[in-house]
Amino acid sequence: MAFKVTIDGNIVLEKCVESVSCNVDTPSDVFSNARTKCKNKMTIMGRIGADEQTIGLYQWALIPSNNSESYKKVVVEEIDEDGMLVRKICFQEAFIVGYAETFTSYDGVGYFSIDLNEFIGSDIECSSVTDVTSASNSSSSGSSEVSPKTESKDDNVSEESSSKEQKTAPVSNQKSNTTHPPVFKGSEGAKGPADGAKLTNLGVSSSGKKLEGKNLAINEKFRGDQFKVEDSFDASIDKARHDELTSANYRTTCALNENLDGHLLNNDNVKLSDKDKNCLNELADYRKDLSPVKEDTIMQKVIDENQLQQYLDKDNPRTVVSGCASKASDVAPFTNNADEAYKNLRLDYNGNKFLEKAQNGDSMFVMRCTSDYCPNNSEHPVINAYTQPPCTGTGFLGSESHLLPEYTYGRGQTISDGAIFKVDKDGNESLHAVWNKIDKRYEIVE
Amino acid sequence: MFMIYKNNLYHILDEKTHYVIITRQKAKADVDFLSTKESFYKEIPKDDKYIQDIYKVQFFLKWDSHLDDVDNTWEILTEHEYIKDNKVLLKFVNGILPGWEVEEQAVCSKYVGIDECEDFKAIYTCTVKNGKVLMNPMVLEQKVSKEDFQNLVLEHQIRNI
Repeated sequence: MAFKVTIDGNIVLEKCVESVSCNVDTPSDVFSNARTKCKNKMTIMGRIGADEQTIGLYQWALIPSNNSESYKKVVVEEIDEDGMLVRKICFQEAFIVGYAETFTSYDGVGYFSIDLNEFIGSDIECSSVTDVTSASNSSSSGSSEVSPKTESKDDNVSEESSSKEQKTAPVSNQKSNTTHPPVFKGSEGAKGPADGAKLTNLGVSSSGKKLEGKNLAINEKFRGDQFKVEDSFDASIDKARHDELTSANYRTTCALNENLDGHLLNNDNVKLSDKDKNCLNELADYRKDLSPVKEDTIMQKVIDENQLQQYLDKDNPRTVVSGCASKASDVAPFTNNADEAYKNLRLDYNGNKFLEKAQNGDSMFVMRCTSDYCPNNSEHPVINAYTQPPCTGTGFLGSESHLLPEYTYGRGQTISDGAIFKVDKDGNESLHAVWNKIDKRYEIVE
Repeated sequence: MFMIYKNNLYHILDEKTHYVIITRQKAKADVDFLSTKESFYKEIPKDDKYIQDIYKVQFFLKWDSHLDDVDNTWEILTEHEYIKDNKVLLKFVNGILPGWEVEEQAVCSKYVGIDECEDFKAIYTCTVKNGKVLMNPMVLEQKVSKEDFQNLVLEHQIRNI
């Protein structure tokens, strides 16, 4: 099997591509999902340095999502040993939601992996030479076992149906897709913050040792880079609504670093417009409908040095997750380093221990864990006489850029499994400690 | 979760097919126990005849902050910092109270003398009681003295299990 990948901008890859995978998300009957959650994806993986220029992929990934150049036509052709076209897939308007390059000193070979999404409403073309013949044969024999998805004609029909269904979305959504270069928050976030940090699990301990055995397994279970922007709550909101909702939520509390000295005792000085109030009502509805936290849901919490030491204490370990935490799937893509975590998780509360880390580009410690206790969608910090800014009380952290649901674990709920990672300013993540179920504490990974 | 097994108190892991009983006290570990550097543990079947009680426990006391809209009832966890030198740590998790130590966003704490507190109680939620598996969890509320309260909390701290 050989591949030929052609991307607008004179990028042609014929030698280096090792695998292509496509994921078709069939159109949903649910109207809201049809317009916000259509995720036709493609992942292309290959080698760097295979007598082909791949730098164009990296450069594409760096283009801001509000630049129309970030959307390109991608054609993938799979050709069998006889030179027959097995499959030809064309994303008319693809954009990058994830890009990674990995280099090792073991064999001197680099690898790239590029994750593409099809822009909602654009056409996907799928055709084949070999499958059409096969399908015809099957059809003539009266077989009913041939899946429509293996037939290019039927695939085209399916995509047309998909396209039609997307085009029936409300006018406001169509507007967001057509009147300006579309900005999908996921693609924006996938490129990381302005300083270029992107969470990358290195597969090593914080002392630099390559992980093996049990520690490797725990690392794989809780690693931060498994959580993709496109799977977050933030990315599920249509762009046009996203920005309005995020702004309204941000306006419920003080600006970043405004209350470091604690002089604001509440959010009483906040004045919300009727439009903001409508947005908050909409957010409240979203909050009610969040997918439930389950016993195996991985939660994330940035912890300070003092908390870290408590968790690592051998004789009197801290065994609970307390205060606020979020689903890792919702926040990990937006906490690529201490600075980004500080801003998006609104760690700028009076008495916090994170400001210096954020300003100095220091590493942070991130706990990801599970608990048998499952907070429901109404368990989040609420506004009362003692709630100080930057608490929003909406169930969403006061990030200026993203919608990040938060939950509260109160005084604490017992941890059932977990890991603590060290994340540096570039987003490089290493495993610092793992939960020991017998000793009921985190133990440092050597 | 805690278990009384052969008259000794253990932590347990519920592994669906069996329990793992865990202690940090060598005196509670017989020859069948395995060990980590810190703990001793043993797998036992769920119908082991020596299982007496399995329960969760919560500890509460009352202390008046004299602040509006602040509940007088406080939960005391078995984390080690909650009882120290005849003082108890109160944690408020719905904001920051004036003069209290900020622990994190919307969480603050304060040590108060245990002599200032009253109405000490332990609430047990049992799934096995006196060797009998209960169809529905049994909730037992036990009022205790100040001294017994401290002893019970300390008894359930991980290092004393």
